[in-house]
Amino acid sequence: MAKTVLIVDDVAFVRKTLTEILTDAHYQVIGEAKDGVEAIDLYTKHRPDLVTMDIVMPKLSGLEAAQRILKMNKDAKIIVISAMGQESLVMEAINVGVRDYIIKPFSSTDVLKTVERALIDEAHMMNRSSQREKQAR
Amino acid sequence: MNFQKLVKALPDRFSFYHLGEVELIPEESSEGNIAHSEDLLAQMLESGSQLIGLSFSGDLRGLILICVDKSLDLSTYMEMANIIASRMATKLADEEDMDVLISPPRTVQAHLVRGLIHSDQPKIRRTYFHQNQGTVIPVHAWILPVPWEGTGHA
Repeated sequence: MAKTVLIVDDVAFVRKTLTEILTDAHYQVIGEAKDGVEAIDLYTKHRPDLVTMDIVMPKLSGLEAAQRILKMNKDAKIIVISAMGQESLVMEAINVGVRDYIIKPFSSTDVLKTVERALIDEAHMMNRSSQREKQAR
Repeated sequence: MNFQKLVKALPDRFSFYHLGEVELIPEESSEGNIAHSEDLLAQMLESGSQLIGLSFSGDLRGLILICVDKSLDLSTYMEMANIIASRMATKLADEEDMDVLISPPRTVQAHLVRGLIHSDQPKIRRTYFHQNQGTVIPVHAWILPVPWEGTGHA
């Protein structure tokens, strides 16, 4: 079953570009939000496997939206995709609890690698880790 | 001094997604070119060109205006404006330790801009060339810094 993604960005060109990249890679884009308020509404409705989140948006910023989504579901997987690359902002995003941060303009390779990494289930990682330990003995 | 920092912080060149490259052309800017800047903007607005605006605030305050031909996809150039402004803010943070926030890009009505362009405030005008599949598209950028107005708390 295809993993579901919610795309959040105030610029239609970015939403379209991300949708094309993810759809071509067989992810299912279940919605597009153009601000943080819509992002929370659509997340609540659809509970996607992953959210791609811009930071600078009208009504509610991406970091505030990410915080509220994570408060709703501490296991929510969010990756920030932003043109703002200040170290302080990246650190703030990590402290909020996002999984990763991509700086715009992005390549399809950057997006797909980051999405794949973010979607690796932690339980699956622990399982792989314990399997490796058994093999090592 | 801050005016010069804004000029230096503009990105020189960047790849723009799958749509080619964007490059800042060497061009005179600031007060020496104001009359030409105002004429150019007036011509572009009269021909129905699209205007995109972002404000910046924090350690530096002002507006960035991007003007492109009306035949171009507005959303694409809103994103380009976002990248130009964000890279400027990032460079100011990294190299000048300045905290500058950028607003989301939005379309701007021509009549709101005319007063700013014809005001006595110093302005910067630079042009980017967007090169994609053999086509070269000029993207004109105006930066209008706003002097800081201290509120003077007791």
